[in-house]
Amino acid sequence: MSFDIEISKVNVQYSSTKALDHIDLRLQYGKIYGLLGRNGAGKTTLLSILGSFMEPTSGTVRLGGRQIFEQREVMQHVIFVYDADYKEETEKVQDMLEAVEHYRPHFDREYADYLAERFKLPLQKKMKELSKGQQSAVNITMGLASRSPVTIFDEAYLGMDAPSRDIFYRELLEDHAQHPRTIILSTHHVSEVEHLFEEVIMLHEGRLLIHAPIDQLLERGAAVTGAAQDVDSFVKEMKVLHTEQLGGTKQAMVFGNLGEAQRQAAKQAGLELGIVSLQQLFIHMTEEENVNEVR
Amino acid sequence: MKSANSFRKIGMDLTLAQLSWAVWFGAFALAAYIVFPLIGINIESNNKLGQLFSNVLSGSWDKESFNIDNSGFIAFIANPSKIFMLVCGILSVPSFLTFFVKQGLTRKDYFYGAAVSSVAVAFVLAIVSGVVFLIEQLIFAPELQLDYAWPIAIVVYGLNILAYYAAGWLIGAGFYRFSFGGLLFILLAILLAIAVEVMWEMPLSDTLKLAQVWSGLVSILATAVLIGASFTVVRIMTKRIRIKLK
Repeated sequence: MSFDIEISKVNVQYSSTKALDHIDLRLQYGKIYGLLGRNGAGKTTLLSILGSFMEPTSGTVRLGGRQIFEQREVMQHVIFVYDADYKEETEKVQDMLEAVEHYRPHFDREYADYLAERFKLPLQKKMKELSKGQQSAVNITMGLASRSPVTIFDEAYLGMDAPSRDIFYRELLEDHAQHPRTIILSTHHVSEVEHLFEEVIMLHEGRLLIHAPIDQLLERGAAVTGAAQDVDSFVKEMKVLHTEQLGGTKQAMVFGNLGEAQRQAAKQAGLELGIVSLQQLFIHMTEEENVNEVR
Repeated sequence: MKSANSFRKIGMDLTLAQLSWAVWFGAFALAAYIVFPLIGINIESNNKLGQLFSNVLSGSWDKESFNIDNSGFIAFIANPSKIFMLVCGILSVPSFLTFFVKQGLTRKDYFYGAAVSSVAVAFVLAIVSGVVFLIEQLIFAPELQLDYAWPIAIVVYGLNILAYYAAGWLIGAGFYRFSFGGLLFILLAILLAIAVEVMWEMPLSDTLKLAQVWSGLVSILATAVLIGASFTVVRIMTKRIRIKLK
């Protein structure tokens, strides 16, 4: 079966709040997606739906053209890794991995053992005895070693120190290269992981803000630096996400593709054009005054 | 790729998991049964289900008494078995349903797997209790004959403790789904337990006398129907239930 994801007209209503508002998305199989959004944007709700943890209030979610929810043949291809609470979990790490192996059709035991070693997981310890970071590493090991065609990590690295997170990112990239599958990463550590993303999805207050390949998205952002007056006149007709000024020097972050003519004009005006990181784009695109204009 | 997971696999795994708890439970119960009298705690039980079981198994249902405390281990463990099954039922949705959905299995497969496993666990407990009783009888009262109605006694015992599983399942699913609204399901569970107790209270001493065989059969069927109805309520509640991110 194909594993393309089709999300169509998905709405989620929680009593008085609208958690997701008319989401339409198509996620082609085999790519690494970054799902970004501020707190309460609806990321976890969207991922819960993909993971069959809940149903949308309305709309459809399909994998390879087939409904996911409660469909045995489809559900088993999706794994949703989230920051689970293991404070009461008395199972040993080893048993947790074995349980997943028992049920996940593509689980690779050797790879799980390898990852456990990479993360230095104490296999014979009870989950509740592990540090938060180690628990997260167990989650990540289960998620990666399941090799599910759709693998979702929702803030899966909480509590992990920087070296461990680095191992996670490296292993993810490497394994994805060898075993291509759809991986969706929801994260607040944007700057750390943006190099992993092939496509970026931004949600804001339950609505889709943008879905684009990362290179296209980054091309749309530019930092214009120069004398304040020159910068102001250059960006007059553009969508400015953010400005900073230091003395007479100003930097404006603009959104929208700059054509060759504009680049030449900037050069002639003595302005410097720089790139904008995904992190900066994310921060400023989701600011209230910018949301409607970038949509 | 391994074959599709199904409720059979879940049923087998849940049965084994719950039976492993039952081993602990049974071992502690047996230890208590042996140790309590030694340290002077009176364990004589006024347990109707146990009495019924012991009467039937010993072929003495029409006799006034059968003397291993009129009841034996089977009576001692009958009420704790109900509590054990109640607890298994309460834990099922919060621990197992979440786990299975996390592993990409359906609520439907969980439901059927859990239902099958609860029946299996109830009847394994009933049979093992019966076997312990038989051993007890062979040691302490070898003159008594095993009655032909003992399979029915096993069924009655199994259904009784299964009803408590159903009650626990209702409570566990109710709280998972409705939080404090789950209190209503405690009420429902109590009603179920009372109905079953009342049903087996009345004809108890003579349920299985031939003259009473119909009333016994009716009670068996009625208990089965109540259990089935409770299971159905659990299925309806969990059919599209939202899994908590815990």
